[in-house]
Amino acid sequence: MNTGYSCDVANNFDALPAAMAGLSRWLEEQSVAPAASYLASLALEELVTNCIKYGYDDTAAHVIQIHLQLAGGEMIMTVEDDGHPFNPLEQAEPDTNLPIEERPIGGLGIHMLRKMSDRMEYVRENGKNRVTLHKILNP
Amino acid sequence: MQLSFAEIDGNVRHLKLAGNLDIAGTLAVETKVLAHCGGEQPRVLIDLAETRFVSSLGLRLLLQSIKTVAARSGSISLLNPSIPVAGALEIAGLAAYIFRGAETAAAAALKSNPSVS
Repeated sequence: MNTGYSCDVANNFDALPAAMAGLSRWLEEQSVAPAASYLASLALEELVTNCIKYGYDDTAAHVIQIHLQLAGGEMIMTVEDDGHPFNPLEQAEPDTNLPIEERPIGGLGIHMLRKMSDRMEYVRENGKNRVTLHKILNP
Repeated sequence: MQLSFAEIDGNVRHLKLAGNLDIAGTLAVETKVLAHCGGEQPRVLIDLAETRFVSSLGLRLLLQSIKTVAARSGSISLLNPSIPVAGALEIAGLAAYIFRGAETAAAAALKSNPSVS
């Protein structure tokens, strides 16, 4: 199997629901395993949301590009944006063992992506951030 | 995202979340969910059996709910999440709040062990 999916998401929150729905449809059509499907939806929401919230200082329209590929028993998802440099792999991991009253509310999005994927990579190239997530489809 | 509410045994609040706890879904229900976590020693079941997806914003809501209930010396459980949703809860450090079984059994567990949270 070697199948791909691409979509462009505008840098505003109104664009997210349609992008999420389109991705979900495609994942369902391809019968992608639940764990990989969950990761793909999570990556779309978390990385696009981060980019919209923190990626730009201007009010211009920007495009965040999403690519998925199912090949060699693996799902490979790439999210590329032209926002400020942001390496999610440098984010501190939240301490999820703290007592509940001391637990910070945020910081879980990137943490979940790192834990749910088999491999996560980041490069800054040609003025763009590119995050790539790998997930083995039938471990 | 749809939220339905019922009381079990008169004083256990059973909240059922059906759909996706993504940005849109979380924003649609967060005020109501947190309102149900108020009061004195609240006993709350958040039923996730029909919740298909929880993003970090959804996890924030669940964590905030747990904190709100704990601050009021109440008890709370996350009932019957699917395997992918349970995986997200575990990664977020919320495994101790997952309860699998009938809602009446969960309500009984809250009664007999109010310090479950």
